[in-house]
Amino acid sequence: MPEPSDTLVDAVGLAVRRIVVRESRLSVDPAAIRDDEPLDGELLRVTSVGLLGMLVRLEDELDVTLPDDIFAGRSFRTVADLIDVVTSGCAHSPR
Amino acid sequence: MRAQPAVTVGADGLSCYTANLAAYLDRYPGDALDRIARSVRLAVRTDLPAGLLAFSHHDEPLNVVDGHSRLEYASAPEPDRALEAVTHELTDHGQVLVLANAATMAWSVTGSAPAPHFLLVDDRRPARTAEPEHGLGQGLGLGQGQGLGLGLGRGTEWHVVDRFTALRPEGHQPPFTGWISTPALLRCLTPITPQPAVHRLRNEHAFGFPASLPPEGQHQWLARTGPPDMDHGQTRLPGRWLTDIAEVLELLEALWTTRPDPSRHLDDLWAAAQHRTFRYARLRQARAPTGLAAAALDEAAAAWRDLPMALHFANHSARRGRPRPAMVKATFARLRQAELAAHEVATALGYANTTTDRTPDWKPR
Repeated sequence: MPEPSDTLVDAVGLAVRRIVVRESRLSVDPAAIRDDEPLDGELLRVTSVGLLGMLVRLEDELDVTLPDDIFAGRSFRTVADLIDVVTSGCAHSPR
Repeated sequence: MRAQPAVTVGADGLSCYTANLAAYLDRYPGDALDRIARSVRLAVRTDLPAGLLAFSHHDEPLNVVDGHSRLEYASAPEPDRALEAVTHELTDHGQVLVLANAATMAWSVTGSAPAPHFLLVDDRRPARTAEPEHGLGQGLGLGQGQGLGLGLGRGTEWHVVDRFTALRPEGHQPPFTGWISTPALLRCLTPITPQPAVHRLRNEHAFGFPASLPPEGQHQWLARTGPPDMDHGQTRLPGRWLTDIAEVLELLEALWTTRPDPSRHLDDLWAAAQHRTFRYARLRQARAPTGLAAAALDEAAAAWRDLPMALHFANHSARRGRPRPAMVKATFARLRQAELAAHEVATALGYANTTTDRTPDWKPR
């Protein structure tokens, strides 16, 4: 499988940051959110329900299909975890 | 003087029924948590109208307290009669389980969604602060001066124990222990009306076998009654049930891939996942397996933990026109494989569930 391009990773990263900021009801620049920021920590407050909603919105916004094994043994602890799974979804989705 | 509960650790991961049932049972001889862990099964009743399913999570009747008594649902239409009965249970047994509504418990994270919940009350005392007059009838439909005519309520505080703790979809549900006022207790006891059929079925099978339910719309608690009747009704599942875990998982996979909206049973699957992960955690603790055996139990627990999220996501997706049958199939395939390996470990460690685990010729598909 080819490595995702930097452009793709950047686009997914921006979309993920925008959505986690909205989900946490924050007024901060999404670009300021670090990759290793915990999804349920001091800054971001993402519940399991919120995570599901975000995955659904990311599928719609980026027109991708997330992998079928998205929850199989995977943990969503940080922003980077979310970026990784969405990026892998982009790699598998027909464009 | 209130007896100190002996359960201090280990109840994490139990359901909103069993977490506080464990606290109740733990005041009697025997290891309540081990008893619950060993009882865990997943049986499904398939002959109910409108495609409804009933779930049994235990293969021994957990309402049997000891050899001499059992718990049975009791109810009263009026708050003061309910409080009187709760007080009698406290006097006679030092504790009482009440049927609460999670939506009206101040410490619950479930929000406004009603959900049945066992709550342990283990003491009462005169109130230390005056209760506001207007608080009495809130949420109960009581007019001023109605109810609590026996003097049991006004000026009384109740010590409640809620050991239920879990990572719910809505967030982390912490346990709660503390004194609450009579109005607060009555708010917790607010009946769920109309009661959804799935709630009725969950209450009915909370102990593993069908229990008689009181009339809908009444305040409910669990009363200690006479000796268990182990031969007649106490340990029978009337109707058509699947008790083999392989068949149960096949049925649930079909439910999620072929029926239009299976979401009414999501909480049943969430409870099953809770119970199964609790069982494997207790097995790990009790038998201390290592290497591949430990890894098999951990994988089974992880597969159960991931199940509710995957099914929630599949539901979300289906509702917006993007069904995910492949995701559901992959999720159940992993679960079947993990259950097979975990069952072999449990059997080897003398922890098999003899009445309901898979048949020996079961093979993963």
